[in-house]
Amino acid sequence: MNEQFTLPDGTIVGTGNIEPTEEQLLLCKSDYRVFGEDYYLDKSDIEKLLKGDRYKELRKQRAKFVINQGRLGKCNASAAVAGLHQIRESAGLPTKVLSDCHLYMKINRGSDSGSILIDGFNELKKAGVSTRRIEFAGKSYLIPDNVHLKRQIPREWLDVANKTALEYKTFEAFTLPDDYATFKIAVASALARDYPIVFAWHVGANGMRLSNGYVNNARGVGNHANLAHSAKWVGGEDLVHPDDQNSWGPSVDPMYGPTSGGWGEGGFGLFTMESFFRCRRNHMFWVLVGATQEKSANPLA
Amino acid sequence: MIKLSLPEQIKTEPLGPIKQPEQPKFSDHGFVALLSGAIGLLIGFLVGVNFQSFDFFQGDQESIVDPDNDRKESNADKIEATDSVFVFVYEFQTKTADQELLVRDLRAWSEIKKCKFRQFDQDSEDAKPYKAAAEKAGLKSPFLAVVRNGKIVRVFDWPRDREALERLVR
Repeated sequence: MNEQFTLPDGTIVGTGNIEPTEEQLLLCKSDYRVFGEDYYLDKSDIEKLLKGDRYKELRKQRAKFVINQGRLGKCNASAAVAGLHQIRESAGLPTKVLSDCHLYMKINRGSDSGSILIDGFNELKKAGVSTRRIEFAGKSYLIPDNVHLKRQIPREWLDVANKTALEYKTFEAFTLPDDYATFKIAVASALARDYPIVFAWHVGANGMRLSNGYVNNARGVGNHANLAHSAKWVGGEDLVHPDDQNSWGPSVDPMYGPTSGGWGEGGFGLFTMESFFRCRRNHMFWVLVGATQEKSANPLA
Repeated sequence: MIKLSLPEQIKTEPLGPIKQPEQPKFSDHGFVALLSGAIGLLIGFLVGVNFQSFDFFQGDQESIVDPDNDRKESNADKIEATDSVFVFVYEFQTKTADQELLVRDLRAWSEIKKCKFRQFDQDSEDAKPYKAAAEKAGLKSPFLAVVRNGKIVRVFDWPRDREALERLVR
């Protein structure tokens, strides 16, 4: 369902993460590889890559990519698209603003009542996601940022969007392990390597504000999905504290959503490792490691 | 610079061929006229030679007699950053922390140089042509390929060849 909350500045924002079934979780395990020990880094290497509060530098660089999902329950689509934006940028692909609404309308089963993370990644793998700006026969169309049904955009442009999406479906996604000890090293290694993680957390009334820079994650199954774009090195048992890039603004560029309102520290907030792990048992978490574009992305093409 | 250097060159230039020994009886006027003419020819010759030399070293291709030949000698190695794509190929599965730092370094460098940057896992389809080019150059990943107009023009070991690349990119 799409639970809505009011930010301190009065802006109403949506959530929209639905718990998958046991069957879906099992299928997912067979369809996607786990981000396994081959990719894990030593503690000293994780520290080397994240020291000096690198996450703060990255916040500045990535502030322009903060999405504002508004009141819609498209958090899954917004988180997945934010992850694709990040890995596309890391790979050096041209900046293309992808449409979370286009992805959301294909996975919400016909109403603005949220979606399942697994459905989002299956859809991305199968059919991709369109750019917001699409072009055909010399004409251009901007997919609105507040639609959740296919019939809300002209039929011919929906066809163009679906065809455009095929160019943006190639990426590599891994799932995160579900035992805490391995989860920690996997999360720390992924974020140290700048691989974003799509995860779930539970928003309650106190989730609208941070406490000393940290997200107030309520007890619950995980009604909201976000992107951890980087992490703060803390050492000790936790190793790192993931840095959340939420989808409630402030968006600098209207292509990423309404520019009014905003959450956290410029759209970001930290999680302790335990808090970050809390909803893992209910949801699959995803690591995005790379993306290519089907057409004209290779300079030799 | 050229004008200042000419009189000295003239003074020091042997005028033997012009001062012909069988013409000592020429009148002063005749001798002066001949000498002036010879000096004029010599100045013309020297000015021409000096302009060519000057332009060659400055890389002014408009006044170079054989532009293609001179470009080979002076500009062949230069790489225009803005028109090039720098492609980093690495091995994803064995990517170490140092290589991660290397990529960051390279990305920052690309931004400073205002050139395009791409990276591919060495096992991806996209990486194949780059790997082939690198193997020809005796390199293995990680390496950096420079692409211009859809062609691989150079392959560098990164970071070993960084200094060489720095000298070449403008």
